[in-house]
Amino acid sequence: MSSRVNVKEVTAGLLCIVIGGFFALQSVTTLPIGSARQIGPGYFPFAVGLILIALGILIGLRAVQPAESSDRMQFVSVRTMLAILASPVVFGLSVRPLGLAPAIVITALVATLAGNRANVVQSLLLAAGLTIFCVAVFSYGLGLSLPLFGPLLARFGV
Amino acid sequence: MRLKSGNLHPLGLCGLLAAFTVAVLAASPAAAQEYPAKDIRMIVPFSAGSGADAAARQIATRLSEKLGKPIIIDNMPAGNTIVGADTVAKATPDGYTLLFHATQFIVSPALFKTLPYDTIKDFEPVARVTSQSLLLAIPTTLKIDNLKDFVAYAKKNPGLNYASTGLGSSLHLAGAYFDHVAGLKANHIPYKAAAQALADLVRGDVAYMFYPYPPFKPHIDAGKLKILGSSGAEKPAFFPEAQPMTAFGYKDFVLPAWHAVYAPAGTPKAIIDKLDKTLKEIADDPETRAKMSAIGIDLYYASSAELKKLLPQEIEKYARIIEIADVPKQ
Amino acid sequence: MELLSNLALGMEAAVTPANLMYCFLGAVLGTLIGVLPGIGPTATVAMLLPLTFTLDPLASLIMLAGIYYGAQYGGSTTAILINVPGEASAAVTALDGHQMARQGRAGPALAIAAIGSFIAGTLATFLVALMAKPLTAVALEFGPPEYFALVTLGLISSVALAHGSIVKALAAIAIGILFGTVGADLYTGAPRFTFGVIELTNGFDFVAMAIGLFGIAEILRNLEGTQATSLVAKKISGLMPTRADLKASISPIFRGSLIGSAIGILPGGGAALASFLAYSVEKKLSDQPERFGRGAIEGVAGPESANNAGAQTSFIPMLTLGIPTNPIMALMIGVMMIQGIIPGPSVAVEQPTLFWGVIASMWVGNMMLLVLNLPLVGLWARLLLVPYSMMFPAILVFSAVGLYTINSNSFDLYTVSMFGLLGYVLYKLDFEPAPLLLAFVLGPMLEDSLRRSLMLSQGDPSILFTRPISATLLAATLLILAVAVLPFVRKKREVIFEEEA
Repeated sequence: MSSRVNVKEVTAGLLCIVIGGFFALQSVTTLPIGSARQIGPGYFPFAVGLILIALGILIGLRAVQPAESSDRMQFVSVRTMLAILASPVVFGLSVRPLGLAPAIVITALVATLAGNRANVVQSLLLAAGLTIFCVAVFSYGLGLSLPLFGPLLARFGV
Repeated sequence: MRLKSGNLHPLGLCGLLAAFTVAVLAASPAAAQEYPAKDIRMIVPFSAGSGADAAARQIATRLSEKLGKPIIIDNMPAGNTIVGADTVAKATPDGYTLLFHATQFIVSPALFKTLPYDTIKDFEPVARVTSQSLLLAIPTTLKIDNLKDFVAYAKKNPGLNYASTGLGSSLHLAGAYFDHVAGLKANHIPYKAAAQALADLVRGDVAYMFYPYPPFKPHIDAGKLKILGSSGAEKPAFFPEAQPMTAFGYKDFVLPAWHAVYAPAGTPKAIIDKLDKTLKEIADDPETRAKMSAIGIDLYYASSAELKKLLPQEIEKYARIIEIADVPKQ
Repeated sequence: MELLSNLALGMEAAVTPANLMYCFLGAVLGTLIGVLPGIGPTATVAMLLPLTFTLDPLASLIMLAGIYYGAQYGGSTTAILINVPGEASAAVTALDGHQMARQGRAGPALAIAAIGSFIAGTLATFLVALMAKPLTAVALEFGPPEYFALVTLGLISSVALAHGSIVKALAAIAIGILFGTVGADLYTGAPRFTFGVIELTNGFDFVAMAIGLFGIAEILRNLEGTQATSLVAKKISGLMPTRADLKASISPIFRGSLIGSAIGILPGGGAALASFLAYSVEKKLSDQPERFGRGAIEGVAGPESANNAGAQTSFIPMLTLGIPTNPIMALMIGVMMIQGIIPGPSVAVEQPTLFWGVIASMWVGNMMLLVLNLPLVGLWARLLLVPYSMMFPAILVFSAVGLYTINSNSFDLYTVSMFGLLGYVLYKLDFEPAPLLLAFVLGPMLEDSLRRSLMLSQGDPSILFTRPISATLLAATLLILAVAVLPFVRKKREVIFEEEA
């Protein structure tokens, strides 16, 4: 990559402008700005949003200077990314209906999908180990009031 | 357990394995015994260590002693108490999920445009257990020692500040209602942390504040704060010097904070009755009374039936005060 | 002499075999729970609270104090080992602590954290005993304008946290402030940027944000390309700090203790500032500021000492005024009330044994931590040798369960993923999460205190400059900007230039 602008810096600037723009725009359109005596709920986020836009422009402008950093950026694979980001969500979705124990098992299994060294046996062992450990610590040790098996499973007679 | 035969996914298999292991551990002969046959979960939609939490724990400890089963307190403060209350509204009505809620429960219907639950229809009132007088305090730097003089002073100096712990909190509504009935023109200043409100009151940046007794006590002892009145119907047992506002001619100024226990709608009547009866015993217990008094709360019992009647009245009363206080709907 | 006799009275009460045991038990439990990622001191104390209900008042407070210090140390351990801070101040420890761990120096980092905490704890205990009364008076002087000035000072100095571009550090602060505004507006109740999500009424959860920005983003980073088999790149070299390490740490420990003690007494989340300020000071005073963020031991010693000293002095306003300076002190007050004690000046007079017993037990608690944790350092450091393919699912599971236990709220877990993604993107673009996290905590304080100041003064902004404490703090901020930041910018730019060249 030998482009004359530093792509990374331009992206960084754009990100600031987008976040700042979002908050500033939301503030003026949905919230009262208020008066000096009684500053409204929109005033502060609007002002900070504008500052962030300005900073974003500054970052972007500096990026136009030719940059020497030509090293390619390395990213995490899509599969890894999805597995890692999904696992807390999966826990959140399953913990109430299924209960603590099944939720931990599923979360651990989803997480292990992210690694490229994982094999099925190791994943299962890890999930089982984590489940036993967490149940021991949180349910028995700390007396967490969360049911081990949720209503969805209880219906099937667990 | 119902399972599809045939191809069993490893994920499912593992879930089952773990499930069985722990099921054996957790199995208890729960079925058809007399209530309560297992632990009861009491959801407290306030953070651990807060005033409402302290009250809940006192009551829960007694209740569990009398029922012979542990009561587990589950603090769910998210979403202005709404998430916790909603969890109970949607819980299985078997008496094993209860709600311990404060005045906020009655204020919420008027404060929020939409609630995910219906305050009347989705709950079965079990019993009201407390009455917490809010005291009206002013800094001693004002050199005023009675309510009449304070009202006169406030009228002469419009634009005094009063503090609360947030828009629509029972402290705010008591302050706003006082502002209304006494004909003052004060500014409401909400705080996130009561500690800061208190410090600003002691320093005199804020002129008055309604608040429960315990946080005031050190400053009263130190001669920094003066108590002018109380929002309760009667003089509070823990601080009899505080005259109720009604004694000063503010006839309908009875706005104590209060706590009650609720169950999901559809909970069997036998269970409600048993809980109600036990809570009455607790409310009559002198030792509990003394302990609650120490944290600035008076025990005050109202039965399930009485609470059922009281709820709509209180909801309406607070809706009116919210209108007076001009709190926008959230 | 009164001080000594008071302390003696306290010691006598604190070192009875039973109370020593409770203190020890508290410290052990606190460390063990606090070390779980996602569970910071507040959550640990809240979870273990019920254990103390059946004890007598002194024993229960002693045990809670033990839990608190233990949890704090446990939290720093997690921050150092796997870069998951459980509270704002641990985010600072993670900056250099985790870098040390990656270089195989987890042992010295953990040891210096324990030693620094102990020294800071000892100093602060005497400070508490000596100065409780006058310090309390200072705490009461802090009103909205003073907080506004203090937070401004904190945010401006936090720019020093960054080891890259100043503009990007400022941008990270702005982003943090903006995320801090999400939720119902305190003054009007207007929902800001919540899009009808009830769970957002109280804003984003701090712990969820910290786990996402630091923990999840870190995992994603470690799983890039060819995955490393374990976290430590090099061999673990020595578990204890070397003579050079100790020498480098001793001044930061004392400076950190002073900063922490002073800021710890201020109500309203000032404690988070202590670590950040201590870090900034160390970086500013260092001959080689470019070492910071790359495993400088001073960057662990200073903030950790500040944090612990602050934890200690935060007891002052709680015990003497009943004013909680942080959520944990609010919990302590809750416990005292459940025990039938109303905190306030009368406690020291009416129950001197309790008052001085708690103070003495702080020191004993710190001692216990040292005794407990120095031998454990090896164990923790070796934990890093666990294959990473097993470690990251474990971190994810512990974080998820731990976070869920705090609020029983699934929404927090969705926030974790969102901030994990954001954290990764920001990392890729060379933004730093630490200033963002600090701004997230302090942003609401900044806005609140500004708006409240103007309400108190009926719209007259001069209230910010005419009150002595606030004026002094703002002047100090200007001074830092003028004297420090300008040459600092030049110097930094050189550093960047060197890096890129």
